[in-house]
Amino acid sequence: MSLATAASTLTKDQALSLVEEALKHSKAEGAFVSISAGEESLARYSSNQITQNLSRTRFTLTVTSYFGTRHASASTTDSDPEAIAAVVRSSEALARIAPEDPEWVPLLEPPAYEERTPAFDERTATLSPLERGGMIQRVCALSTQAGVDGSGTLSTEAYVRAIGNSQGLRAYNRYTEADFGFTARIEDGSSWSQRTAWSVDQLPMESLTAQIIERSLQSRKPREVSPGSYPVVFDGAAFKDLLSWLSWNLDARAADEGRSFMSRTDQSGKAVGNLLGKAIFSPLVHVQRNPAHPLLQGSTFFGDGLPNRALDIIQDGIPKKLSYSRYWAQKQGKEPTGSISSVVMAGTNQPLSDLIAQTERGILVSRAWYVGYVNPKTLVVTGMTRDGTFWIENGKVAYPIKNLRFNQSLPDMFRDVDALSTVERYGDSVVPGVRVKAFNFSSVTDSV
Amino acid sequence: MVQAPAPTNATALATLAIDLIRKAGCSYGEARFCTYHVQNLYARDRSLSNLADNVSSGFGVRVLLEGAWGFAASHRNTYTEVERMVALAIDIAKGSRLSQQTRVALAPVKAYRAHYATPIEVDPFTVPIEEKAALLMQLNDRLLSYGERGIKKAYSFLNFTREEKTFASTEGSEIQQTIYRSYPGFGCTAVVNGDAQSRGYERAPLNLGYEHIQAADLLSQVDRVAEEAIEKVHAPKGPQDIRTTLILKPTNLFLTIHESVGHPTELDRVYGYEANFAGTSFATTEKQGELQYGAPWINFRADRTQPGGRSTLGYDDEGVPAQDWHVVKEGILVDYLTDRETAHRLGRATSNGCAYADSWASVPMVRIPNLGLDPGPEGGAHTATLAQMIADTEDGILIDGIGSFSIDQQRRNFQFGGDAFWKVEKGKVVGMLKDVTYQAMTTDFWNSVDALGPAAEREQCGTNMCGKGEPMQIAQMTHACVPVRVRNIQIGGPQ
Repeated sequence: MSLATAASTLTKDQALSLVEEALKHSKAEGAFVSISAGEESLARYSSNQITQNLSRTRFTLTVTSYFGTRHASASTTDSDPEAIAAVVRSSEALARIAPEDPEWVPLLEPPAYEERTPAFDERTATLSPLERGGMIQRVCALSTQAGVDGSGTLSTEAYVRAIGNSQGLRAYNRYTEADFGFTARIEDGSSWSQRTAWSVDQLPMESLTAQIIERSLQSRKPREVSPGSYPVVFDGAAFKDLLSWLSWNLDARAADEGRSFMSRTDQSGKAVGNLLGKAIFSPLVHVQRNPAHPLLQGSTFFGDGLPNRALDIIQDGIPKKLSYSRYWAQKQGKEPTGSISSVVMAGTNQPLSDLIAQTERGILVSRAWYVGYVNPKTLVVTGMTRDGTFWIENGKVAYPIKNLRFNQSLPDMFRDVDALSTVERYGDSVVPGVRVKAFNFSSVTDSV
Repeated sequence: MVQAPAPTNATALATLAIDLIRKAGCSYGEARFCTYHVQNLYARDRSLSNLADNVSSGFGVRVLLEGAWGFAASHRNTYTEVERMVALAIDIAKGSRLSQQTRVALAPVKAYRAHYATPIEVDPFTVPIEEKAALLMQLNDRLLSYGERGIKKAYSFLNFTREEKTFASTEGSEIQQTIYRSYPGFGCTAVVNGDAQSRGYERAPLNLGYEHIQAADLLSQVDRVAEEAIEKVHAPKGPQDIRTTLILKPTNLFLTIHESVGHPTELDRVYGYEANFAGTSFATTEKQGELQYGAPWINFRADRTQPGGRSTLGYDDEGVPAQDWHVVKEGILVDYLTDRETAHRLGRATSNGCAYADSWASVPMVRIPNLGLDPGPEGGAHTATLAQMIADTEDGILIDGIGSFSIDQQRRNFQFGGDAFWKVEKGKVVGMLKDVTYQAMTTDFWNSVDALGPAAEREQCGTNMCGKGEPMQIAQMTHACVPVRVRNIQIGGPQ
């Protein structure tokens, strides 16, 4: 990459001066401004060569204007002063005619954010297309040597978020993220995994490639296992996609209104609060929001300005916190929390292979796919296994099996967790591999 | 009809980009300058929680250098930035070239200089916000008026988009398009006896103006929707682990078409481009012209020209004209959904125009177009109205709307729910059920259809939230279809 094409992210001064520019134009009783900007690159490969390769420079400035309890927002991707003035006028014009909002909350007073700088890795932010291409070239060469069809992605992103409001709140974060995903396919076998880090140099690209190639070779000639309930060992990459569904459903309002598995009802079936404090999961389940985790080192605030700090969500299998919006917290007399993101589930020192070694018979799942609600109230979900499903016999991976559909209550699954492995970062989460005593499979597929 | 003028500045910038790409010696290049004006209103209970007017503008350039792709995009619509993005796209193509084993080649396309605009009657952006907000608040107020009988939550929404795209390519095309989109809907949740069940109504997302909103139609559905939510929450659970007859309304069937016919016939999936994420396909190319996808009376037809369709436009994002063609004809898989790259690999003379990028910052890729199920022919042995299907069914389940959905990565094993379910007994609808799912293998399912609705019962249903690709892109399309009856389908399963 030449200097002429080099990416650059907004500095703190640049970003906050744009926030000031917007607030300067505001004639509303209150205004909130947010900037989201970034430089993102992603190369995608299949059949051992790059098939799509992009970089993009993005910027969005959003203004929310308030007149009493009326409010509306407008956004632009243009950072010129005239465009910023225009978007302020646009949001004000809408806000003046918006209906009164019974769920209005006052603008946030400047909170105390953590004295912590999110991870920003200069090399990740400026990785050149040739370097990116070279890294993928090595993955493709390993795939070709092994005779597998390799596909996946390598992405890097430098992200900036800045916010401010007419109450004096100002905040700025910038951080980097890199992600590597790899799928190896051969004959009727397939394997996949993914890793995420704040530095591209932390991605174990070549060792993960070797591991996934090996697993793909083992996954050929799968046998059919009858649907039913089995003990299951989940690779962390598979478990992450199930934990996400649990964390998305830890919303206080849905629980308090009787629409969630976390709802508590009286004998007549009427919703009377939530299940906070009840031991409903395995005592092995400890879940935090922890943006400061060494593997994450993420943002210190949310898009609405609330602080993003550590929060104990589940301790010893007991839900301790639900997410409260500012409106619902005010109504219920609680502290607003912000969303449940940067999820970290505690693991152990034992590798996944130890969990397999401790399993007499069961199924090893490498990836959970197309997970969706069957019943949003009870949090029963369905989905498929994919990219490497194996039968475990006498503590060993015995043979590959055909992929299976599951229909499973997630509260029951988290109740039945009986072993944990070491943790890895996948996307915005840090999770272990887990074993559950019973998991329900309902049908089989020939799909590889 | 509204004809919005295309931004003239975009044409000059696109011309510059194409000149620079040509000078750099690329075998192909294209530039797309886009402005998306999106207005969203969302009401939750008695709060208009979201009233937003968003404009996103920028451009993307894609080059093919020695058979390797490069793409760069920016929000800065300036000459300087065009120069930087073209240079960056070429640098990126050089990075792609490092692992290149087979050079990318494209099916040919003619050069077009054209304008296209969605025919609309009322520009949604000229309708006062007060009118739109009042409609949503009225919908929610009326839904919540059923509070004593259990309706505890209500939502309603209006979404409008105007997309202005200027496309130019080294093939000599220069195409301006203005596309309008409108989408209204509402729903509610009944919370009773420790259960919560929802019911909704929408006028499907279509490329139309404000005339699609039809406030009178929306308001006329409120009482039915609220009553059905209440009946549903009190209804018995659906049967588990049985096989029965299904009667599926278009509001449910469109998603089954989308997942089990649309995605498996995307040719990029067939070739493995999506192997790491969205998946591949069971409908591989050696099966073209051979695979008995469905019963002989099943015809699936793609059509990017149908009035109002959510993916209806003049040209796709590679400058290929909108077309219509059969994907499944008389039950046989006969064709695929292509862009220029995959069309060339298949040996087609041209692409059938399924390239779509969801933003100026996104790379065009194969996306499902409007893909519909043809009605049964008048007087056909397998043609029946919905009422006739019900009257002719001894034991079955009628399903309306969408709910749970999941399908495997090669698109064989699927499981769908719905928004409302009714038990059918001895030719009559006898009451609602809840928590019903049906599960089948794609070709088993489509070969088990024994009745198709007539043209008069065809509805343009569809989605505005089809995710695919890395980075994820969201596409929108219509699946016009008729009710069907399907025999011997698995219901529920081990829970």
